[in-house]
Amino acid sequence: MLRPLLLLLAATVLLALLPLVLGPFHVRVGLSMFLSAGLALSWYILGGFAAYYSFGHTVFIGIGAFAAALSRDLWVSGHWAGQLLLGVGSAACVSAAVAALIAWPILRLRGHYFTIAMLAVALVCAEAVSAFPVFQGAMGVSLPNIAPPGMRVERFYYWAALALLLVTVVIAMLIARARLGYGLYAIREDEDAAMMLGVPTTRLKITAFIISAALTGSFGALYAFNLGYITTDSVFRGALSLEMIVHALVGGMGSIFGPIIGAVAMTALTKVALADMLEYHLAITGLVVIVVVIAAPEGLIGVVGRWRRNRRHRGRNP
Amino acid sequence: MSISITRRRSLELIGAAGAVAVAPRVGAQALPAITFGGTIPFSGRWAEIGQSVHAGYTTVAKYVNEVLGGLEVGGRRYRLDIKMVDDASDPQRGITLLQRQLDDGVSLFLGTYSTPMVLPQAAMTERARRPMVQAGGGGDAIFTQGYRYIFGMYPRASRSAFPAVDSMTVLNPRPQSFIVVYTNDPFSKPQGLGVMARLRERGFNVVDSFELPFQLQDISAVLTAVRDKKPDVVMCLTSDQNSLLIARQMAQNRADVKMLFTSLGPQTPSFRQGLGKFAEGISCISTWSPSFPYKDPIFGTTQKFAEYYQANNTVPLIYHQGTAAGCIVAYTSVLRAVGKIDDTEAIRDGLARIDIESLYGRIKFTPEGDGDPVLMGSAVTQVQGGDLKVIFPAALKEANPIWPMTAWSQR
Amino acid sequence: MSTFIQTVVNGVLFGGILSIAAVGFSLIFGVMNVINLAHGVFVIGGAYAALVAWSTLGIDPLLALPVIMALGYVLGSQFQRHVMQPAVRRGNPVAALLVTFGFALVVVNLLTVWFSSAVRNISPSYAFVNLRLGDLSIDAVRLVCFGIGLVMIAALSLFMRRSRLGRVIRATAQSELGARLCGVDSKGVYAATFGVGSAFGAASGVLIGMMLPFTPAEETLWTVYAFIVVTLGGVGSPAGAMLGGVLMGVAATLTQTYLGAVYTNMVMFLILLLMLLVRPHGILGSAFRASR
Repeated sequence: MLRPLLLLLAATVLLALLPLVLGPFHVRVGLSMFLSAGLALSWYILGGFAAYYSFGHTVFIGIGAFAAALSRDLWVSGHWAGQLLLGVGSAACVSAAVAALIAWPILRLRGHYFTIAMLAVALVCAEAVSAFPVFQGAMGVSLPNIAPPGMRVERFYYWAALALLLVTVVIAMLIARARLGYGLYAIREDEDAAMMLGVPTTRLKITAFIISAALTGSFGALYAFNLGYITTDSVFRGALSLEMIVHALVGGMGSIFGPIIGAVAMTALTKVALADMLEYHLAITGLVVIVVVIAAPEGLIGVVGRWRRNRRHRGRNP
Repeated sequence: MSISITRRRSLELIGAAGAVAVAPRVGAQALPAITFGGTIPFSGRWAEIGQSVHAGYTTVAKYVNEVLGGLEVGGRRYRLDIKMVDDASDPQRGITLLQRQLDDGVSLFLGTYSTPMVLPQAAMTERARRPMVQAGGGGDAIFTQGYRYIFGMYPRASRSAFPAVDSMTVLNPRPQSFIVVYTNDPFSKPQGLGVMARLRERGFNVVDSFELPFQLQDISAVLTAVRDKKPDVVMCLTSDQNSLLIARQMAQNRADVKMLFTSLGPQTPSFRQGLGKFAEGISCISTWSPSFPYKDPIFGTTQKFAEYYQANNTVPLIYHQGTAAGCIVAYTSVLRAVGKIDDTEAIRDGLARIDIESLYGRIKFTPEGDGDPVLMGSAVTQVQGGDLKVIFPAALKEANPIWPMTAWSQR
Repeated sequence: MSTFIQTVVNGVLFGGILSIAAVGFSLIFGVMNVINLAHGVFVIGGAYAALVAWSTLGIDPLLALPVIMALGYVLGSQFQRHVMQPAVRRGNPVAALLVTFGFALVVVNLLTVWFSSAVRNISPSYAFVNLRLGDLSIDAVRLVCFGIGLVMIAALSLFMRRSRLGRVIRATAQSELGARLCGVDSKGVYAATFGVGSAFGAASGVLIGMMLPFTPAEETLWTVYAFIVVTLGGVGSPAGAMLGGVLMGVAATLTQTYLGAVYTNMVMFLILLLMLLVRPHGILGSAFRASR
């Protein structure tokens, strides 16, 4: 546990120093990558560990975003660190609360039914946030800029996103090594057998669901702060749900670094390489999904692993 | 050894010289450029509108570069360079790409489309102290943040449909009862609420109102209300798609009214074609029409702009191109007055004070940056004979309003 | 009272549209246990095909319907055979789903590039005919489409029960191994099933194009509507699709009239959610199938 943690810390420090040498555009791209990676990893906690594929995780992004925006009075006056913590904190709490509320009925469903049910939850919440004026979803809510004076805005959010991503990775690593993780793997392999063997599947699933929701909500808050003005459409987006899944799949569902790698690769592809190929970027994303599913089902990590194994074999048999 | 290096070096030099020699030279490439930056939706939900707006910008630039030989500012000639990238109708993508342009030193910005896309970008250009003149975001939220560098080519949403209400006051005999329908979004809702308040102010009777979601497949509730309450006029502040749905269902179900007004919709030829003879008499607002009788500092008249546009573009000419062109005309007028191309403070001040006549109409902004409600208010147009004709205000009128419109059941 | 009746009638007609759109989806879900996220693009694709037939070629959409269905069949079955089957073979349970999602993205993008995202509608000469039954006003086009939809659903039902291919499909759905042991080419059957589902999706698109304005971006909505109808009415059964559609349609119009138009979609999605939690196999579905 210690070695990976040290490596992680080293990587984080390196990434944290990058904004000092990169231009603001690249800092923003990095920020996008951290947000996407964090979201994909948060989804993975439920989808990768337990194989409960949620197609509606954008609901937590939206809930987190609106929780942060609407709880403005709680944090608007105060030091920027307090603002950030309270904003993200209220997002995490509200997302966790909503998750806790729906967890038991929703997690009774298996397979495809769970998938559609989460989609339904996302759709219902999106419509509710628009339809009921108290949420201000249709008219939109503004969030004040909480970056400390003197610091460049994009750097502030870059570091905030990096910090939150680090927290998410550590939580994922802890889960993977704890009983919770092993229990979730058991659920993934064969839930009925796990139940019969005495694994407290319901409790474990609900825990994973709540953790996943809270983390997703936190990233939702950062997403909202970064945009500065949110409407229902900008945070309750089906595209965001699907991106989380695509990133995890493209990177590789076998490791917690899969979602991160997938998110970085896809963001680089769509925001940098394809930034000028505009008309077709949806089609290209679609083709990438199809190609990855057919040709590289274990994701990029799987491809690299296979390549290394082939090299080793070739080395032994010249 | 030394011979091959010399040979290689000379080959390199020849290659470089050759590359420079064959580098394409287009139009007024030799002139330095004034760059206008920003993002536009070329794909996604707003793609069609994005393409129209972009066509408006590029047509003006083309005219200035090719026909006028560049814009003269402070004694030097410059070409106009419209450098817009695709934001795919995604606010997050928009702000990431805008950052690149801010980094690259672009100092003058044009806007994207829809309030949720424009507002986050306005925050960024405001922080960077660079002006943005845009024709895509009219929500009140944009103009109530205290921003100084953002300018909009029409009045804010809550005021933007006032001309529609005012056009009702000159109808004879005066209509009595109204039903107001609006889409629940940051633009149409304030528009709708503003319209209802103004109708009441002017002494009209609003007998019912409906708030619709953006995605809707059926409006039978509205039809039922029209049948039961028999209003004289139905006013819709709705998205293109909802407008089409409402018009179709009303016609199909013969929900007769004396006038149907839809803020968005009839401006596009496909709307009018789809409804055929049932489109006749539907009115809408238009921030601009090619028939406007204005004089313009670049093209001479609105007419000449419309002609030049038709000769050089395939995207159909609707009001978006006029509004977009107005942005460029505003910028060029201020640049000429200021005499410098990179003094963003002076340019901002120039925009804040501007008061000129252009192909778009009078350009004059309120202190908050949106269009002056009287001088930059929209015109009201009506479908007559398959075309749109301006029916209000009197100064721009092309034809008399068809009032009352022929009932659906009699077509 | 007449308001209530009119609302219910509107709801039944609207529900008919939803049923037609869901029938193909129901077949694919019922037989192959695959959620076809590309369903919406077949629907919208059918609408655009009808648009081309009507506006460019001058052919009435109803006449072009069989051709468009055939096109949908070919596209669907080939896609299933050459893209989905390799994906499913990889073992990832979510693979088929994702591949249909990828396909949907590609098609939506192409449609947007070819047709732009302008709002379109098809208005053949009879598009604005209106029927009156006393106080009730009935849109003739919706009535005709409802009728055609009923015929199509009945035809599908008959096909599944009586024809040889229908029996083979049902056998493969019950037990793939058993069917293969009896000599059935299961891969061919799956491709054919997907093809039939897509054909019906495209057909529904032609009808929808005549009734409602559409854009490429709508495809997600139609996929979701298909979910809702199938979840409500029952998977795999055409009668279930009919029932589910009509119930949803009436729920939608009742909400619009008595609660507020703004809540329409929310109520529809809420019904989906509640059905999933309470009775995921739908009203007419069987519990055994659902537990697979």
